[in-house]
This record gives sequence, structure tokens and C-alpha cells, in this order.
Amino acid sequence: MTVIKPKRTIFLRVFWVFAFLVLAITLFFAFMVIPMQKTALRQIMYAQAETVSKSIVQATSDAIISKDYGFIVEHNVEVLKNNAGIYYLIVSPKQGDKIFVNQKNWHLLAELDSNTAALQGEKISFVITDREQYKNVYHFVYPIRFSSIDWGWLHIGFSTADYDKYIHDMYYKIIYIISASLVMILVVGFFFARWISDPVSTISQLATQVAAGDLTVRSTIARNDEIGVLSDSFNKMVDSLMLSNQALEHYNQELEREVGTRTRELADLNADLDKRIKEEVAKSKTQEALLIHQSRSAAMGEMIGAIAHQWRQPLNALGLVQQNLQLRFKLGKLDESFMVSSMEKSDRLIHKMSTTIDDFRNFFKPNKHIEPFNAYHVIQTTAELLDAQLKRHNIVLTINCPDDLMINGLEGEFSQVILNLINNAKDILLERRPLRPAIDIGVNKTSDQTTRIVVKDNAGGIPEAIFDKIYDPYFTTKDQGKGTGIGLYMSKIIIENNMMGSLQAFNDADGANFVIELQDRPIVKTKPLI
Amino acid sequence: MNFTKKHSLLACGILFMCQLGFAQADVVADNNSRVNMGFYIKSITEQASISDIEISLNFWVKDALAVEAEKAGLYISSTGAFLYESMREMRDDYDKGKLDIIVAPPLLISRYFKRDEITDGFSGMLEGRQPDNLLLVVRSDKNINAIEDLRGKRIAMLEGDELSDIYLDTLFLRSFNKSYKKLNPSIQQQAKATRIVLDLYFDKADVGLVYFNSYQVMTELNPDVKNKIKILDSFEVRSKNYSYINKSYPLADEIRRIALSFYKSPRGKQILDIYKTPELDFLKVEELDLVDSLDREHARLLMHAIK
Ligand SMILES: Nc1ncnc2c1ncn2[C@@H]1O[C@H](COP(=O)(O)OP(=O)(O)O)[C@@H](O)[C@H]1O
Ligand SMILES: [Mg+2]
Repeated sequence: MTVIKPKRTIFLRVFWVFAFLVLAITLFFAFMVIPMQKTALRQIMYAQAETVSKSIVQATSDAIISKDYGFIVEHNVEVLKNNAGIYYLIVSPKQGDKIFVNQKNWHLLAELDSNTAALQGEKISFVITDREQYKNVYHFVYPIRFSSIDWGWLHIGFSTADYDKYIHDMYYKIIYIISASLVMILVVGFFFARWISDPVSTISQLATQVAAGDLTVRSTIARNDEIGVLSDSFNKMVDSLMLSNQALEHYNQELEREVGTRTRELADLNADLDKRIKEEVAKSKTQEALLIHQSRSAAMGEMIGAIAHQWRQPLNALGLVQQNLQLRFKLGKLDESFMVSSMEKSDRLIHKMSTTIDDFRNFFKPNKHIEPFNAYHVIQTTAELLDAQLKRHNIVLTINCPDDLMINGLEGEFSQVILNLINNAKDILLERRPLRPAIDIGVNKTSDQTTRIVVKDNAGGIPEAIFDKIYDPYFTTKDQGKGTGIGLYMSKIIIENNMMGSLQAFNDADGANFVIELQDRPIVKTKPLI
Repeated sequence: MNFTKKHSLLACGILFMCQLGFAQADVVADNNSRVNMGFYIKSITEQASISDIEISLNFWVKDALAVEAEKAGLYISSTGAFLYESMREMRDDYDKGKLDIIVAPPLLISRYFKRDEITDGFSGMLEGRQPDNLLLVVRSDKNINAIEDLRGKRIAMLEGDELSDIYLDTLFLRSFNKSYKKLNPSIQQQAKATRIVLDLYFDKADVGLVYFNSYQVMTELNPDVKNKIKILDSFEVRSKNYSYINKSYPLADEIRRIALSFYKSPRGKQILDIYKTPELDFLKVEELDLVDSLDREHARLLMHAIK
């Protein structure tokens, strides 16, 4: 079993929370108390100063009225003697000398200094200031007034030593309290946090052991609180875990057996499946081959139709040449020149037919080399194969293509696609018979790398209902014997698989538009198709 | 108000002291190891407050003196402090053999006691062993340069101080053959000598009679006092109060010795502080001669004075 390092996170958290709370509360109260105490002290000082002033004025009032300065001095010297907290005292009548008394001596002042004189007003005033050798004096000025006659002022310089000492004591006390609470935090917090966290970490440790798979552990914590309950529950949990573990082990063995059987069955099945997949693949390959073959035959069939059309005119012409030769021969007018011209004519016609055949043969010649070819030339040649049929039905075919545009790919396959598209357009034009049937082939570069070929007719477009199906193999709307449903399927495969392009259709106001988009990049041929 | 309060306190104190004193004195009247002191109270109230006197006298006599005596190997079994408002009463108690030590102003002692009834005692003294002379002080700005200039001037003097009275009177009788009371309508009696100095300073009086110590204290408190007040004449006297010991008291030498070394112990020092004297000094009976001769001269001059 691995040794589990006990985590102290809860301990630390509890400890810090406790510490923070105690410290925060202590500091809060400490710093609440300071300003309160300060104002209280100031009020006390004020009250004390007022009391002292009042008593002095009361005691010396007779003397003041009778200008008995001896008494005033005597009394104030006495006051100072009995109050070590008073630094000095000034009796300042409005007119005449002022009497200054301090702890050591007394003397007369002709004038008060301006700062002190400024404090003499109608109301009590005070200031904390430094005066001569006295630092931090609470200088209190009390107006002396007898039956609404302003006689003068009594200045008393109180020592703030007591006040400062009190404040200092308070600071020390606060520091003491904070230190005490720090100690308390450390000690009580430690034990408190440990009291909270110890059982938790014990249980967590036990749980970790349980998690590691040791189900023999039991919690020994016996407490009369939630933690005790936790401990009990933990033990119960481990008990039941142990039971379920045994049950599980049992199930496991069962399962393993079951799995063994199943695995064997599955292996058998797998082997069978493999065989079947191979068969299916073989089957589908055959199907594909069939499809290709059919596509080829269809194309061939269409080609033959086209050849038949191409040949009709020269064959007729050849027949006429033959009839003329026969007629001349019967009339005995078959001279050499006629013979020669007839032969030339025949030769020309035969040559034409032979060229047609060559053209078709070229068309079907397996062309397995990917190489750049001239787009216009290929489209032109392909269109020429259908020239006769198109002319017969007054279908006008226009090719709009730059002379020098080159396409990279298999020339034969590409022309097969073009042938398909023209054928489809021709078919639909014959079916729908618009007033001026036309097929437009437009080729242009839409960007540096993209070549776009659009074959467009004006037969009204592809019905919405079949839009999704036109590329399906064997899908056709044409009468039996006429359509095979392979043309668009093959075209899509050629363009998208063999030429890495795209073939899409859309309808515009006139009719269907078949759009081929080819990228100018080397084509990696995945598999030979036709 | 203040006055009556002081008196009632004084009365209480005296009553208390006397009862205490009598009770103890009766029981141990014949005991040789007792110490009974008689104080003429009017002569000490100026230096200390009545409550201080009460406490300190008890302390001094009952505790400190006894304790100090015990240190010197003398067992004091009974102590008593008696306060007197009149010398007559003190004299009566002395005659009854109740008092071992008397404390009073020298003039009064010389008047009430014969030289052979008392023996050498002790007195307080000023810092630096200076005598606490009685001073005749005048305001400097009043152009007073001789006794002759004192006529009609405002006088301030200590209430109940007979020495001041006969001293000033003697001076007047010498110069004018008339008592000062007849020549000067304004005579202020003050309870405190310091107050006399202040009255002169603030021009409430022109002439004053104060003991040297009070004058010195005031000049220390305000050096300007020296500028405004000058000393015209003085009469030599050691202290306001003299203490003498009953001639028939057997522990006279021991008690005197203890009193003279009072300043050495903290307890003794405490008591001396209350009476504002740094230590007690040996006092001969002959030292009464000076006041005695003044008293005689005064009496003689008075007889020939213009009535
Ligand atoms: N230019 C077009 N306009 C309208 N419908 C078209 C066009 N081209 C093809 N179609 C529809 O798509 C179907 C499938 O075409 P295709 O795969 O070439 O097979 P087939 O031509 O043999 O029918 C056609 O039967 C026709 O209904
Ligand atoms: Mg087709």
C-alpha cells in the first residue's frame, strides 16, 4: 500500500479563517475605540479646563473687582501648586498688566504675544501648541465676565502629558490586545483548526486508502457530533463497499466467463463478417465496373447515334456519286475526267467519314495521362461531334471561351462530361421545344486558380422535385431506351473524383445551368475510372 | 466661609488631640518614657494647613519620634500632642507637669517661661542654616529710606504675630515716640507673609513685616519683587518657632539628639518637609535673650511714649 501524505488544507483554511476573523474583529474594535477615546479625552480635558477656570474665576472674583492682584497671584500660585498638570496660567485683564504664573515663578506681562492674544474672544477657545519650554500645551482661554462686563481672560496651559500618556497607554493596550489575540490565534486557532480538521483529514486519509483499494480500514473517531456521524457513516460505507466489492468480484468472474464466450462468438462473427464484407466489396466492385461499362456503352450508344448522323450526309453524297457513275457508264459517257472527279469526290467523302470515325475513336481512346489541354479546342471538337444533330433541330450552340485557356486533367474524360451536358441540353430542348433553342457554353477564369465552365440551355430548367436526384445513377425522366440515368452520375464522378473539381446545377430564368469549377493544381488521381 | 471652616476643623482637631492626650497622660503620668509635646497653634498655622498639622503632629510625636527613639534604644511607651490657642493654657499644663516639650514663638516663650524652667531644645532653620529674620520691607518707589519716612504709610503685617508688632512698635517709638498704630491709619493684618509681599508688589501697601523666608520665596517666585520691594531694617531671629524641653524631663538629651538627627531618616524628613525646614538645629536657652531685650525695650519705650 502506498503511504498517503496527509493534506493540511482544511487545517490551514480553518486556521486562517479563524485567525483572520479574530484579528479583524480585534483590529476593528481597537480602531473604533481609538477615535472614540480621543474625543472622550478631549471632552474631558475641555470640561476639566472649564471647571478649573470657573473655580479660579469664582475664587478670585472679589479680588478681580477690587483689583486685589496680590490675592489673584496668591490664589493662582496655590492652584498651580496643587495642580501639577497645569503648566502656567495667565490672568489677562483687558487693560493693564497681565499676570503670568507658572510652577516655578510668576511675573507681569505688559503684552501677550500675538498668537496668544488672538485666542481672546467672546467665547471659550483652546489650542494645542508649544509655548516657550512647554511642549504640547492645551492652552485654554476662558473669558472673565461680571454682570455682562467683559473684564478679561483667563489663560490656562494644561499639560497634555496625562492625555498623551493615556493615549500611549491605549496604544500599548491595543498592541497588547493585538499581541494577545495573535497568541490566542496561534494557540487557540491551532487547536481549534486541529480539532476541526484532524478527524476530517483522518477520514479523508482513510477514504484515500479506501480509494486506493484497502477496504480493511475503519475510522476510530468517536465523537458526539457531526464528525462522529461522519465517522460512523464512513465505516458503514466501507462495510457496504466491501460487500458490494465482493458481489462485484463475483459478478466480475461471471462477466469474464460471459465475455469469454461472447468474444469467441464475436470472433467467429467477425471472421464471417470479414468474409461477407469482402464479398460485398467484390460485389460492389463488380457493380461499379458494370456501371462504368454501362456508362461507356451509353456513351458509345450516343456516339454511334452521332456517327450515324455525321455519316448520313456523306453516305448520301457517296450514293449519288455512285449513281452518277453508273448512269454515265450506261450512257457510255464515263470519261476519264468524270471518273477522276467522281473518285476525288468519293475520296473526299470517304475521308470525311473516316475523319469522323477517327474523331470518335480519339474520343474513346483511353487517355490516362494527366496533362494540360486547350479548353476551347476540346469543347469545340466535342461540340462538333453533335453538330449534325444540333443543326437538324435548329439548336444554336455558342462557345464563349478564351483561345489560350488551358485545363489540367484527362482530356477524354473532360470531353465526355461536356458531351453529356450538351446531350442533356439537346434532349430537354427537344422535349420542351422553346422558340429559339440554344445552348451556351461559357468558359472563364474566376480567379487565378479557378476555371469555371457553364453549360446553359433555355429549356426551362430542372424540375424542383428531381433536383436532388439527377446525379443518382440510373435516374432518368426519359422514355425507356432513350435515357440511361448514368450521364450526370458519371460526369460528377469525373469532375469531382478525377479532376478535384465540382459540378453543380442551378436554374435561371431561361433554363438549367451546369457549372463545372476546376482548380489549377496538380491532380492526384485516386483511381482510374474509365 | 473659609475662615469658619478652618476654625471648626481646628476645634475638632484640638478636641480630638486633647482627649487623646489627656487619656494617655492620665494613665502614664508618672512614666519616665513618655513624650508629651505642647504646640502653640497660632504660630504654626501659617506654615502648614490644619489637617497637615493634625496628621503630622500625631505622626511626629506618636510614631516617628517613638520609632526614632526606639532606634536609639529608648522605649517610648506613651506619646501626646497638645495644641494650644493661648499661651496661658500651655503654661498651666506645663505647671501641671503634663508637657515635656513646648513649641511656640520665641517672644512668647520668653514672656511665659523662666530661663531655669526650660533647657536647650531645637529649632527649624532655613536652607543654608540662615536665620529666618524678621524683615521690615518697603516699596522702593515710595522714597522710604529711614524709619522716619514710615509715618502715615500703609502697613501690612502678619496676623497675631506679636514679634512683628513689638518690633515695629519699638522702631516707631524710638523714632517718633509714638506707637505705629497711632501714626498709620492703614494697617492690614494678613494670615500669610507671602500675601504681604504681594500686597506691597501690587501697591496695596507701602510697608510690610515679613520673615526672611517668605520674602525669599517670593523673590524666587518673581525676581521683579526685589526691584519693587527693598529691605529697610531687620530683626535677627532664628525661626518663627522655638522648641524647648522641660528642665525636669529626664530624656531631654536623648530626645534632643533624636530630633537633631531627624533629617537623616525618611520619616523625619517627611515631617520636616511639612514645616518647610531642612533640618532641626540645636537651640540654646540663651537665644531667647534677643527677643527678651526687644520686649523689655518696647515696654520701657511704651511707658514713656506720648499717649
Ligand atoms: N439540361 C437539363 N435540363 C433539364 N433537365 C435535365 C437537364 N440535364 C439532365 N436533366 C435531367 O436529369 C436526368 C438525368 O440525366 P442523365 O443522368 O444524363 O440521364 P439521361 O440523360 O440518360 O436521362 C434527365 O433524365 C433529365 O430529366
Ligand atoms: Mg444524359
